[in-house]
Amino acid sequence: MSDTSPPSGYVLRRVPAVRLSGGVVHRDAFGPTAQDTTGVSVYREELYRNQPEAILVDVPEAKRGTYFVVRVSVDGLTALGLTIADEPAALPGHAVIPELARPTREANRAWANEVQAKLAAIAEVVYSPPLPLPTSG
Amino acid sequence: MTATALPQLFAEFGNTPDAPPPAEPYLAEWQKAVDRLLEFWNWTADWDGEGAAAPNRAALRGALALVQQLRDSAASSPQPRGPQFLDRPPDRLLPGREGEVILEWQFPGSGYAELEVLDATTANGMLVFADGRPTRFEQVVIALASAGIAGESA
Repeated sequence: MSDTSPPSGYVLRRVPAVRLSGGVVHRDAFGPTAQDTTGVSVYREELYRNQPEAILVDVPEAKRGTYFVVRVSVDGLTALGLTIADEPAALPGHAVIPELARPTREANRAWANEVQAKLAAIAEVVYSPPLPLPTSG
Repeated sequence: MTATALPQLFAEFGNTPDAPPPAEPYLAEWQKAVDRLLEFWNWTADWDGEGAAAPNRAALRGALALVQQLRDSAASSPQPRGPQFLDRPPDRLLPGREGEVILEWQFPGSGYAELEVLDATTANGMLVFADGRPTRFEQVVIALASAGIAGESA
């Protein structure tokens, strides 16, 4: 894993429909899964400009239509004390936010919840699936 | 973090202009919240396609107890009260990735409050203020008056 956080730009993140409500992103959209031991996944937007939905191509087809894509500015992320670390994966531009790794969250749940809430507040939806979907509520 | 009763916790929001109207119009909405929680009861692991844990049943019992407690409180009040009384149901209600149950209330212009129910008796409260005040965290103790679910022992 290298540590190359650019000074500006955006990162993209996949968000299942259940973690949005009325176009508002829930903070759990930035929570780690049990497998996210090195950080939560993001993709560098510069590789997907004008086609953010391309980061969904390796989501199983049956579920792909239930995902949104949001973006967060790197500056905003940095202002929250977070970093981005490149972590090569199947899709190019994959990186992680190490501070939100599952072990870190477990060690400081309140801090993680707050940071995730702030990330959700600055996240912009840049791709919505074509059909109306059930969301949280 | 100290254990705090709900009214004290949400009093932080004060009497904002969006203080809720009388509770009665919300009773049907409260029932929807109960129904939604019961729906989560049968969700299995990986319900979100991202490896989420199945909703934790102890947390669901706690969330049900909490919702029933708030609904009963709302039903007993014919007059508008401050937002700390939560006479209206949560704006968002969903399981978290680790099996916890998350309830969220929005206070437009003031911020929002979240209760993260971890088990049958405890929840983490988080208050996020729009005016720049630091986020506040509290642990909430849930009164277990009526957490029973048909077919399940509490």
